[in-house]
Amino acid sequence: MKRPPYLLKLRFRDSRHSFGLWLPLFILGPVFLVFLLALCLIVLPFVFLSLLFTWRWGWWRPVFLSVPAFLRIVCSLPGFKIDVRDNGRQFAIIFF
Amino acid sequence: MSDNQRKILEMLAEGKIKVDEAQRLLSLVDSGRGNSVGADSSASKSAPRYLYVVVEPKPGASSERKHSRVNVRVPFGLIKAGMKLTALMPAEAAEKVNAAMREKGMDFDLRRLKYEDIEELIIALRDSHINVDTDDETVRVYAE
Repeated sequence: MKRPPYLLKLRFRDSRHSFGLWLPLFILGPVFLVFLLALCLIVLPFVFLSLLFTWRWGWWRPVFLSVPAFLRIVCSLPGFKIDVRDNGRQFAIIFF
Repeated sequence: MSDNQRKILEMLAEGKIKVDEAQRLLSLVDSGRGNSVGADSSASKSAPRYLYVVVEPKPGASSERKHSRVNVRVPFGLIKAGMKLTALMPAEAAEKVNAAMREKGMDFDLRRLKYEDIEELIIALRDSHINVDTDDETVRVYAE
């Protein structure tokens, strides 16, 4: 079963600076979801109103279908890695 | 106990076959099941999980290229999920993309790409290794 990434490693390095970051997505994800839910609750009446007036134009279907598509992408991120090094500079992003 | 095994034992009980023949038939049935399980597992194992793109400098590379390395690992699940997004692409945008690809010589309709085609392509990629050798670096693209 696929799962969303629980950890994100970021690393930037050049000749003078070095920056590494481990982001605990298993903590940040739920916090972000709670914030998103609160935002959705505020915006929901306006969304319903716009649905009512624009339903027949048909562009709500891609909007609704994009949510599971986005979730599929997020749950496929574990294992994604980009690590580029060039003359003492490094950029790395790794999802665990 | 499978149906085949039951039939073999019934034939043995009825005296239609001898013990040696029953034993041979039972071993054939077992190996047949083992082969099918093995085939299933090998089929499931054959689908690679990641696409790797690795660029490494060669020992005699120029100083500019000596320290350049690229290591990219992309889960095929991410590629498949991204391909499914093409179904959400509005028709006007898809036409523009197709027109741009035609200009570059690729007569390919993005919206006709099917998920089953992607699955077959991914399985076939397991046996594909792309190696590009230049003076300064080697580029490898492979799937595992």
